Amino acid sequence: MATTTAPVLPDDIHTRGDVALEEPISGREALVRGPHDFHAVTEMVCKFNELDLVKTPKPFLGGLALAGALAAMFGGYIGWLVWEGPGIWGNNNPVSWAWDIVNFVFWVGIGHAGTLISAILYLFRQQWRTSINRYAEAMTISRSSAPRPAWRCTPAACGWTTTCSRCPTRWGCGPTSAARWSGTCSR
Amino acid sequence: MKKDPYAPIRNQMEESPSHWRSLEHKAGDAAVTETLDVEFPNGAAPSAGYSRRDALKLAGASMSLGALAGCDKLPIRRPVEEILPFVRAPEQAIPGVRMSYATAMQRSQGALGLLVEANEGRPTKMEGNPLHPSSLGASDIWAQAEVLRLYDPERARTPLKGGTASTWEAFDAAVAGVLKGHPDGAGLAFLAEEDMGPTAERLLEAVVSRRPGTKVFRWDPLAADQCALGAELAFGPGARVHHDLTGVKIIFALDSDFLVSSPDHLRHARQFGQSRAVQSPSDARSMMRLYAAEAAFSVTGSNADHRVRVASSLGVEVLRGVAQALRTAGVNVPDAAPVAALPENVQKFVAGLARDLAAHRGEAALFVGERQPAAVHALAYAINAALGGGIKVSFGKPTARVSMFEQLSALSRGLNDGTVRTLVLVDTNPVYTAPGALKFAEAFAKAQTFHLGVMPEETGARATWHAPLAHFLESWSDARAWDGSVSLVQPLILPLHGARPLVSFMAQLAEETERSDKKQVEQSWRSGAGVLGTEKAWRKALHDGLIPASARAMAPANANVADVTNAVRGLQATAPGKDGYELVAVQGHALDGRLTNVSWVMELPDTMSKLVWDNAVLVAPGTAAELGIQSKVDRNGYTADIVELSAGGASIQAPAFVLPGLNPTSLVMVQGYGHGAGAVAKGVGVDVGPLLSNGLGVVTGVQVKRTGKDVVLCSTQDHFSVPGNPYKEMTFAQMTQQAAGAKERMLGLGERPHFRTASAGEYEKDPAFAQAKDISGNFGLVELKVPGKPTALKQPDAPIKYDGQQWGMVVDLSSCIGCNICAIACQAENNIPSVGREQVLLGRELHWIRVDRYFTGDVDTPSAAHQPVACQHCENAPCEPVCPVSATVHDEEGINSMAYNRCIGTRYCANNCPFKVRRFNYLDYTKTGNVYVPEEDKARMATLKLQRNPDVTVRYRGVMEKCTYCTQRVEEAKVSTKQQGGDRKGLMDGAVTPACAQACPTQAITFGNINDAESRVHALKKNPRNYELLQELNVRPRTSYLARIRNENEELG
Repeated sequence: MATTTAPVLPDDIHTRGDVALEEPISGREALVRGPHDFHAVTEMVCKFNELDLVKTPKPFLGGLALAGALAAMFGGYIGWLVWEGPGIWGNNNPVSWAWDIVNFVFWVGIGHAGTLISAILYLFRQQWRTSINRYAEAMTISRSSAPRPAWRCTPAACGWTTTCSRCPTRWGCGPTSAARWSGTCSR
Repeated sequence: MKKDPYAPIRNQMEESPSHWRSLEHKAGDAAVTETLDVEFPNGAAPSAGYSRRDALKLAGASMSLGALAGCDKLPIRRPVEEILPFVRAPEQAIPGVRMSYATAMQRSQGALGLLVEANEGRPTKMEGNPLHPSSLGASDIWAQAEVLRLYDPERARTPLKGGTASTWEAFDAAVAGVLKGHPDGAGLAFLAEEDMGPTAERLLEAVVSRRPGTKVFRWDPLAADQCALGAELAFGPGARVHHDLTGVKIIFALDSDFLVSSPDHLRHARQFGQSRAVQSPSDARSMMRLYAAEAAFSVTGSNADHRVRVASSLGVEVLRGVAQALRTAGVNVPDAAPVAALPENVQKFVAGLARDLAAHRGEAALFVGERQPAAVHALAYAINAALGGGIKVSFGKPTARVSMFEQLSALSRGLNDGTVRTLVLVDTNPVYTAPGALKFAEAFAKAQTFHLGVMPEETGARATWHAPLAHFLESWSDARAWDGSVSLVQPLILPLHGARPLVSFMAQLAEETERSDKKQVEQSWRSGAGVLGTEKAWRKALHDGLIPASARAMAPANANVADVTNAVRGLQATAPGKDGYELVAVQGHALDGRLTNVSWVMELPDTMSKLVWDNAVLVAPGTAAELGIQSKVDRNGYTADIVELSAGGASIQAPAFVLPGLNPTSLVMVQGYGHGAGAVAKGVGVDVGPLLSNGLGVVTGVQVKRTGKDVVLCSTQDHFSVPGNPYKEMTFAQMTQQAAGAKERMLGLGERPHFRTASAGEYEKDPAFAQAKDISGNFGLVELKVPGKPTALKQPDAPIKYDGQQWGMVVDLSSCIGCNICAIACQAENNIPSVGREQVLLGRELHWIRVDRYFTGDVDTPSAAHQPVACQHCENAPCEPVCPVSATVHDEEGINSMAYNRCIGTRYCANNCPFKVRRFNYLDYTKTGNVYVPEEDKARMATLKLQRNPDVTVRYRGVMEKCTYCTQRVEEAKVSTKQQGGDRKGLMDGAVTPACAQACPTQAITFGNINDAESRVHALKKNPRNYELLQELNVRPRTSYLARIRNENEELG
């Protein structure tokens, strides 16, 4: 005789999902969970990826091409920067910073906005934070993953060996502790 | 009447800064002053040479190459190198320890004794030989540049036949053919410079005595030719004049740049500089007073206490005026009176000068430049002889001298009419240097020509044969100084590309069996009753770099007044004017063009115009206004109108650059540019040669026409300018409320020029004038304001306590003449690369020392001042706390060090440096890129890298650099002191001399332990003339300056 084992659910009713909670704000449950179940979300995300190429909608391909071009351009510019050196930015001796400091501050700003501000709002129990939380997290994650090469190339020397890679420097020694430290903080 | 664009400048004297860097700076041109206000000049410029298209091309390339990065095919791995011991080690050579050898460099104006440093057999740096009478331990730009010229990659590897590579065997056969073809010498001619050195000259005489028909011509634009002709006129055949400024009080320089380019100029500069370095107000009255009358603005003119602008063509009239006035005062000088009327200001100058000269009999010296004809020199010598002091005379062979221009003309005629069939040129480049009127290049092509030269240059490329001549650092020879002292020239390295030494060449031509240069030199000095007969004497002469008692006998000057009177009477002088300007060709750092292929020299800013990688027609502001010539600031350069100059049927087109202080009827052009050969020199600047028609370098009746075209000239005069009126710290919001340059922005200290100066009288009244307005104790003005705690954070104001050895530097602006040698000596010592014209236009030059040139006074008749500025090694260094990786830190002896290996190139330090002395390697200027170096660069660097100083790190791109007080020399002194049992923490005063101080002809730079009460630098820091730049910032620089004292004649005002 077949026996069925009932699923063991966690004790905490807040994480179980099968108990309708009393909502402090009316309609929150609906807002947070929405009308889509996991399957629907998966279908939406994979809809175009799993199609045959010929059936992929043109706008999607166009968007993909654009994104690919931008990524290639990004890679190319970073490659050029690493190849030639920071001289390509056109700065000079008293005017040491221009585009690079703007880029630097931009990513610092994004990082701060994503994590620090989100944390502050949480600490002050600002409930409306919930509605933008996902955006903030996404922003933070993207700032620390996607543009990391750019950011690390930005304020620093971009010597092939001194910053962009961890191999021994021009002068035959390993990266000094100070350089390592800088590497750590520029992440 | 054209509108004078400089009228606003003239009209706003009160508002403009007292010391100004350029006309635009004085006029308050927004392009210069607004950038001063925000600290940065001219924004970030788009880099020239890279276009968007290049970016895309490289983007694709780097993507694909990036994928290959892991492969072994790319030269990422270090090449395998082997270290092998010497089987027989050279005597005394210790790997890693540099050795100095005494040698000398023969020049037409007399040899310069040198001590050359060699690192593992590579000559890397030249210093002056302190025992040599022409050097006294100092060196000049030419000497510094020669070491790079030695490694010039364009030196020929083999003899060239018609410009293409041939073999030594073929060359030797050709030489044998020539000797056979001219058995009595008829049709054979030599062209050499004034003096090739005793042994080479002996061998040349042997050639001539064996083949009596051989003609020897001499040509060198750098020779003291008119000077020697004038001496013969005044004192008889074979006479040579030696200036000695010991005890001299009054100097008059007529069209002469005797501080940087006359015979013995280093000795003159030393004597002048030391007299000007007054230690107390009581000395001030005993310093030399320098008068200058000139058309161009020379280094000497910029040091003059009184300078008057006068056309070169009128030089004789000025001297006639002086003679007339002196005769009236009862001095037995030639009877001469000005024929042409001199302008009123010149007359006043002449009267004042003559009175001063008459009052200082026995204490006067007159210098006349090579642009003045021989008779003017003779007149000056006669005046000088009558006044006494200043000059001595020596006599050589009593053969009448023929001017070099006449010799070259005779050669040219000989080539044209076929009397010269074979010409041998010894390290000279007449195809380029001959005045255009001679049409030498055409005549040159008519004969069989053998060019012996270190570099092929234009002449070698066109000659039938070019044979590579060994550099003087590669060969044995000997050299004669202006005073006749002989030095032995010894090689430091074997000829790099198998070149043949000069003495060997001459021995070959003299058909000597002994071809070895060393044996020939030994034969000159050791054989028979030679003065260096004993081994000890020979070794001592080699060690000292001087053969004892070889100087000429000096006699007091006694001029033939009547001869000089006759000679001067015949001289005509016509004043140039608007219908015919006068073109004055002057020699800059590149000399007559022989150093144009040396990148260090090209990148060294011209002393007055601060032009680099360019020459231009320099015009006075008034003349520019009349001619409608414009020049305006364009980022880090100047957009300049191109003008066409024409005279005597020849014409050239060159950009015009407005330089204050020039004679309004003269146009000035620096010689030595516009070469047709040489990877560095080709295409840089414009050659003035085609317009020249005589040996003097002055062309009259020049017509000027605007062409309507313009070009960007590269002048560094506004680079790295620091405001003299200090600004308050303010927030961005406060800054935006006030206009740039608004009074509210200033600290309220008034203008505090970085260059401070006073007349002797003012100095007597207030010896500490330079420190006026210094903030002592309370640095409230730079207090950091914290809300609620107004005085909580103050900058440290207690005297800094020094422990042990503490380095510091003092630059005496009174003795600094602005020759720029410190900048190039620093470059040679510290492996500073040249960055090239485009990079300088972007403001990326790397010189650790910049020599700031300031003008003061009126736009038309300003005086000028020079101030070398390098890292000040601040005690409260603003660069240090901002470095995220501690790459710039104080060491225990107070040097603000750069740890290149730590530097990740954030450039925070440069942004925070108030003196703007930090330099960043934006690109791989040293060509040490470890991923890929273009083949062309690799080939060039193969020899050039041999010059590098192994004690100094070669910086790769992305690294900040700046003056280190030559920390490698400090360490070297410590090591050697310790080895000798001394205390490495208590070096003797003078144990360390940085490269700049060592090269300085006037000893204006003093370096030492400021904590040692006995040291020179300590004494100088206590001098009331001592002041710090930007003292109000409380950065406490370790380099300080001694204010300049002028010794003006009160009568002239």
